[in-house]
Amino acid sequence: MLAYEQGGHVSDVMLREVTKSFGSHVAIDRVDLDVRSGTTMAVLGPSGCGKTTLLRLIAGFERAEAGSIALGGLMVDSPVRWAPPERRRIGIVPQEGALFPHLNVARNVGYGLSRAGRRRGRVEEVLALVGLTDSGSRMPHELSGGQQQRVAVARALAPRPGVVLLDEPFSALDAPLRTGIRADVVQALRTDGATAILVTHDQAEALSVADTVAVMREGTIVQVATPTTLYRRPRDIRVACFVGDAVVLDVAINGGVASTALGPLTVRRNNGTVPPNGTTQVMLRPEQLVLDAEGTPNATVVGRDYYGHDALLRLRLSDGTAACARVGSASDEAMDAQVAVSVLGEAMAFDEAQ
Amino acid sequence: MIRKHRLPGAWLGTRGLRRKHRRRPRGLIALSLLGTTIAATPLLYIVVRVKEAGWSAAAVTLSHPTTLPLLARSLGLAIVVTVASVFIGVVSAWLVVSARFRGRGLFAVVAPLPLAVPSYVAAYAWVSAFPGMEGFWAAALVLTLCCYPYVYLPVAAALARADPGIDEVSRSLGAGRWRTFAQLKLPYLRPAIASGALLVSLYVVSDFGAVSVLRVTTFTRAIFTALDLGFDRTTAVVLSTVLIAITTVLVLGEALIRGRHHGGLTPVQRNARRVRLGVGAVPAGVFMIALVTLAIATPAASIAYWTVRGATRSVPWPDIVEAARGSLMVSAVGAGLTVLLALPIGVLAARHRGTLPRLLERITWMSHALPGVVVGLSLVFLSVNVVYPLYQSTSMLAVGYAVLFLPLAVGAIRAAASHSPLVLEETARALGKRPSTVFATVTLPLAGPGVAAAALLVFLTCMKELPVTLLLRPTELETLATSLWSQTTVAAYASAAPFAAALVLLSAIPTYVLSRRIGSLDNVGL
Repeated sequence: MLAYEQGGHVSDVMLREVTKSFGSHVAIDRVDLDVRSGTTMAVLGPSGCGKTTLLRLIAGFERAEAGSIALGGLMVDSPVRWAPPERRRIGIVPQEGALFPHLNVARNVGYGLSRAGRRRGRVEEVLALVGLTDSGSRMPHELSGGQQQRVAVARALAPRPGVVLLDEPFSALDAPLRTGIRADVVQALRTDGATAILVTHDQAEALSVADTVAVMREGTIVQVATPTTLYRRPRDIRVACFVGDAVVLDVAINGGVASTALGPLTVRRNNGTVPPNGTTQVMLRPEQLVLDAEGTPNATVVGRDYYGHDALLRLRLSDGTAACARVGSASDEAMDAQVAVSVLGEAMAFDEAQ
Repeated sequence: MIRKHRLPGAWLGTRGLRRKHRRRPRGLIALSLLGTTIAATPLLYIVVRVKEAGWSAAAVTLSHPTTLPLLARSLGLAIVVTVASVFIGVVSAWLVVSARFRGRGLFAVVAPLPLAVPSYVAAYAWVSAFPGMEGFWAAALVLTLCCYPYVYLPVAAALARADPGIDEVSRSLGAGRWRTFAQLKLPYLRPAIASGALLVSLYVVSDFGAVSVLRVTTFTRAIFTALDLGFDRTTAVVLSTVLIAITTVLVLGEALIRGRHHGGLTPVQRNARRVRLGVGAVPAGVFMIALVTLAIATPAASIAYWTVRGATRSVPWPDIVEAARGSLMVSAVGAGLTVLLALPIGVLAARHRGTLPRLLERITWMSHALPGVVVGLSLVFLSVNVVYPLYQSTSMLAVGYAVLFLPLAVGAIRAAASHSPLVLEETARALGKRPSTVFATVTLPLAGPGVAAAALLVFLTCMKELPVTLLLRPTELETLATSLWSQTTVAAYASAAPFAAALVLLSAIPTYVLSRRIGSLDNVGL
């Protein structure tokens, strides 16, 4: 038995050098991961990056080839020790909910509970937590997709697992529904004090629900950070582009200042230091680009993605670079209009140019 | 700027990888070995006997001038019946599932009913109606009319599951109805047709009753004759090796035709619009009337005629009741044992890929095409040498049924097990339940109806079975099939008819129940 602490907080999930390959394809490559007790971590990555495999390793549906996994301070997977899924005190919420079709809602939720646990009213408690108080007697096929997913979450929470694993649980839902259920589920997890790992390919989802986000790429974890840090100070250009819209400019830096088609920009590295002189790429977020009615035109409008609450204006800068600016939904620049763009704040440079 | 879209295939891709690398389920394999070993007993027996007789004696038998024509006749009959059954089965399935016409509901009930008529009963019914009827084409006709439901049922089930969206997309892209059917529907139906065709061809190769009544000397009948006339076990056993070779080719051929489709289920969101027949209504009507007349009305009328004629004398009611009791009892025991043995094999085949699970499943097919008498003899050999107390007991008869019908049950159970997706079992285990608990609380309840259907299918097939029952039954036991057989061998049509009527009526009940399950049964086994 191995108990451990991490920076004063107990880690409910600890992975060290975990490796897993399928044939010649390395799906997970020496991954380290810590999830603090009572927090939600999102594992964010594109399809095929290994994030689902990571979840299955933690759940015990796969065994790691190398490295170790500990849950709640107990070693569950290492070269010399392996606990099957049912001994890991985990809860899992699969993509499509995977409710047992032959059991009603209450019996689905009570499946992982002992008889005493069911009698103690835990089923009703978790159903209330996900906002389905009076649905216990309904059958899964009578529920909407969103309700099914809520039941799946309640079922996972019921036995008070050490960690809840959510595998893209909202991706099958309609967009308007998704936001609401996402918020409710996260609220339920927090209220219950559960530790959770949410696997997703949707950066908006990861940034909005998680306490910490781990970005995965080709079987490795490239950055673990809070959503704010991840968005503001991504580790490299690829992470920057993956977690949100980005404007990337090729620039020459001299004394921490880059001269660009948008004028001179102050550049800082993602650790706040002044970058060395030389040519590199810098990144701006579209919110940093603002239209200036008075200024000299330095960009052409080439397109506009309208989102209702705001809009993204696609621009071509005077040197031909593509850029974009977030503008209010009331703004109505015409196509091919010449506009003046100025930049708020600093541009970000990275340790190694990508 | 980057906007991400989910690749729809990605999840399936990882699932494929994942399954391939799962660890070997030792317990399941051990349990499966029990069934496959029993199913392989006749093979072992044949190997032992051929070795005893010596390879040169075997070579003499195989190169005998009568052997090749026998082989040609058996194969010819199998090919003709299979092709005709595929045609009838696919056309009737399409009419029932995809066409719109008056009387469709009635045709849907009637079309699978020949499954309730054993081939020797059909043959007997035809011969008693048309006394001169015999020979290759007569056997081809009778067997086709008995066998086409084996194609009809899986194809109808597959059609009912087909996604109408595929058709609509094809039509929207400018492909006509025929091109859509030929290029999309037929390939989609291929696994269902292949499994049906396999059952038909194996049925024909191993059929004894119909070819005997209609006097066509096939391989299987020759084996019977060799045993019956001269007690020439060597010839019988050597000829059986040829049947095993044919079975191997057919089973492998089915696997090839089926391709890499592996019973994948696409949930149907909605039903397709049925096609109005238009001018096609005339040929379709002729087809259906002819089919119903030949496959159902003629044998039914013949049996009814002889029953009524016999009834003017006296009906042996106590004998019929006694035989029906015997049939129900041995079939129930047989079905129970077969399903029990098939359960681990079916679950293994549904859940695990790889050479060993596949091999275990395929082995169960090997004895399916053996003539009942060879299966019977091998089990007599086994019971005399290994488990003597079981000699001529109901248990040994049940083992005989299991040897013959294990693949039917395995197919249906594999289909049923695939109705309980892996993700549900994983979720259940994550909730802290041991594998055995998960099996009892999740897998079994979900697969239950399918397992019941498997039991019903085997039960029905046991009711119809003749040669193994003749050989292995306890001496005092009569079933409907054996009573019927002893009457038809002396051409006592009137005395045989009530037994035939009772057998067909009793078999019609499970047949009806099974055919109602179309759409929920997968394309194997049925």
